[in-house]
This record gives sequence, C-alpha cells and structure tokens, in this order.
Amino acid sequence: MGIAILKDRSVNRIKVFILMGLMFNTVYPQKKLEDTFCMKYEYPGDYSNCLTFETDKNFTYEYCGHLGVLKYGHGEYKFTDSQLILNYNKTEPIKTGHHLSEIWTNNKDTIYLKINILDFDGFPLHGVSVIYKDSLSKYGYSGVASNKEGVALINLKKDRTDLDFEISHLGFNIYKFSLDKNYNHNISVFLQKQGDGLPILNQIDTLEIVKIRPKYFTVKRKDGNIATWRKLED
Amino acid sequence: MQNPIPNVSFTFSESILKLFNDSDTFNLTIANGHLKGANGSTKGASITISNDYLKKATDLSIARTMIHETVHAYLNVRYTQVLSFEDGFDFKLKMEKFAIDNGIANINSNKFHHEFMGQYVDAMAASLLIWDEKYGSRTNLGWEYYRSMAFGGLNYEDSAGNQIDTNSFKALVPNKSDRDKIKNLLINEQNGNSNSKGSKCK
Repeated sequence: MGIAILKDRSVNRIKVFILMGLMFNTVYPQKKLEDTFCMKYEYPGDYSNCLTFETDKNFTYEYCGHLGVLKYGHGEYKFTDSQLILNYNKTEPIKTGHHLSEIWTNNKDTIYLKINILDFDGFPLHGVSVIYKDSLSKYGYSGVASNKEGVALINLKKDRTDLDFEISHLGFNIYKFSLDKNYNHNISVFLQKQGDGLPILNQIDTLEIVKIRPKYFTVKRKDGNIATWRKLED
Repeated sequence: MQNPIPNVSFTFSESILKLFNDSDTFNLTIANGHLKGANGSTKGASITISNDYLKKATDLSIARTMIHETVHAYLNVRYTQVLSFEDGFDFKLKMEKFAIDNGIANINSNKFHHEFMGQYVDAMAASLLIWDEKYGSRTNLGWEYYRSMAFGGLNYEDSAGNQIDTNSFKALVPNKSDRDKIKNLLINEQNGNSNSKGSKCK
C-alpha cells in the first residue's frame, strides 16, 4: 500500500515536471545567444567573420579582411528547432561616390573643365589623381592632380565623343564617370572612403545548427562542412 | 619624390616607409586597435594592428605583419596616386594586366593584393631578416625561416568560406605539406607558443 502511494507521488511529480517544461517551451520558445561569436578558422589571423547578438531579437554581422570591412549587416534573428534565421532587415544602405555637374556651352573650340574633389564631409582633397583616356599619350591616359583646394582644371579640344574619367585617391574608392566633350563642365566629385564594406539588406540567411553551447555553436555549411562559431572572449 | 641618397640602400619595407616619409601628399599611419579576428588591417595607408594579436604574438610575427600591411599600403598608393610616380601609369597598367591575367575582377580585394604580393615574397623575407638582425633576435634564424614568414596572409576566402592559398603561394611552394608547415610555423609565431623562435614583446 505504502509503495503504491509513493509510486503515485513520483508519477505525479514527473507529470508536473513535464507540464512545467511544456509551459516553459511555450512561454520561452526562443533559444538565446549573447555576445559576439566569430567563425573559427583553421589558420586564424587573416579574416574575421562575426555575429553579435545584441538583444534577444537583434543582431549585427561583420566580415573583415586585410583591407578592412568586406560586408556587414543588421537585422533580426530567431531560432527555430535547429535553425538560426538571420533576417538582414535593418541595415542602412551605404552612400557611394558620386558627382554633380553644371554645364554650359559657347562657340569656342575648346572646353573648360573644373573638377572639385571632396570627401563626404565636404572637405577638399589635395593630390587626387584625375585621369582621362587620351589616345595620343604613351599609356593611353593623361591626367592632372588636384591642387590644395581640391580642384583640377583641364582644357580640351571640343568634339562629339564622351570622355572617360577616373578619379583616384589613397584611402578612397576609385570613382569613374564620363562626360560629353561638347560642353564646359563644373563638376563636384564626392569620393567614398575605402574599406567600409558592403551592406547586406533584404536578405534572409538560414544557418542549420548542429550543436549549440554557451561558448560556441556549430552550423552545417552549404558544402556539407561544419563551421564553428566561437564566443569572442574579452 | 626625392631621389635616394647615393650609397644608401634600403630593404623593400624601408623603401616603402621612405616613400611615405618623403611625400607631402600621402601619409602612412600605424595604430593598434580592436580587431575581432584579423591580425592587421589596412585601409588606404592607415594600418591597424590588433590589440589581441599584439598581446600574444612574437616580435618576429608582429614585424612580418607590419611588413605585410605596409605592402598593402604600397599597392594602394601605387594604384591610386598614379600621378605621384614617374612610372605611375606603367605600374597601374601592370596591376590591371595582372588582374585580368589572373581572372580577378577587383584590384582593391584581398585576392588581388595577396596574389600580386607573391612577387614580393623574397623582398619581404629580406626585409624581415634584416629587421631581425638589427632590432629583433639580433641573430640569423636562417633564410628559409624568414621566407616562410613572408608567406603569411597569402590566402583568400572563397564564397563558401574556405581559406584558399593564393596561386602565387602554390607556385612558389607547390607541395601542400610544405605550405601547411609554413602555415603552422606562422601560427606558432602568431600565438607566441613554445615552438616559436621569436621573442614575446615586453
């Protein structure tokens, strides 16, 4: 009799635990990762590929190499049974190099080009290489460097062709554009800094989780290999 | 650009430092900073060396990383500051031809820089050897050791996330097991473990 009562109590306790477990899973269905996890490389030191779980909802991603940031993104994440779903829905698109042109015409047989080169904060850039295609020169290009005010002045013979320009400066992405050699131009070129990376937006990545532990998790890659993402320690 | 002082010769890395030192147009900056996984990073001619790496690496490893990153800065300056060099267009067109010949779309990419850098391996090794004799161990660890160190970073990642040895690394060291030995040697110096030959910075 006594043994039967004890058995009943044990069964009831197990039922309560199962019920509590079910309730916990219903109320807290999401697994949680905190801090930054970086992909473990066989030979580390050249790249970093890291996910930071900022809250129980938001993440940031950054992939870097020797030349700075390659790609990055922000968004929302969630865990399902064995998947980590990264929704890049909060990344801001990045502004790229661009130019503004003012043109005028006259009856001269030459055109006058004034090219102002600036960074995105509007600071003039000195010593910028402003090069353009020139079939008459040795290497097929001619060019001038911008002065201390960030200005390059060029006079060319007027004709009906387009002229291809390439604006390059250390620390900035090369900017290319073409202009009509029929007109005079006053151009402002805004150069984008190098190494800021490409933003990822409106992309959903699904990582197949193999193992998840407080200090690391592993995922199955598309090629079938297992990649480990290890928690970045301070 | 100033002409080199007669009878004074520089190593490749010293020549790069001189190039920046003599220029009124472009500057080289070197700083330490927080990088999540890479030992070093170079944007334009701004080099950042990882704090975590500086804590654990040997001085020899740090010197080889500094040399490697200054070569990135050198390639960046040669490709962008075309008008600052007498052979500016010639060098730029050679870089573009190298990219086309090797099927590389973007010259400002890890893949291009690390493939192109294969041509400088011996120059980087000699720079490291002379640095080590002057400022490091003040001994000579043997040419092959410095040459192995100069291969550091000569890889890129494919779209699946695999680290691939550059073709230039494969051409110079065709045997995979030899390349793996070099990579392990680099890791030893990077981690400053008991198999490293360099010393930890004090």
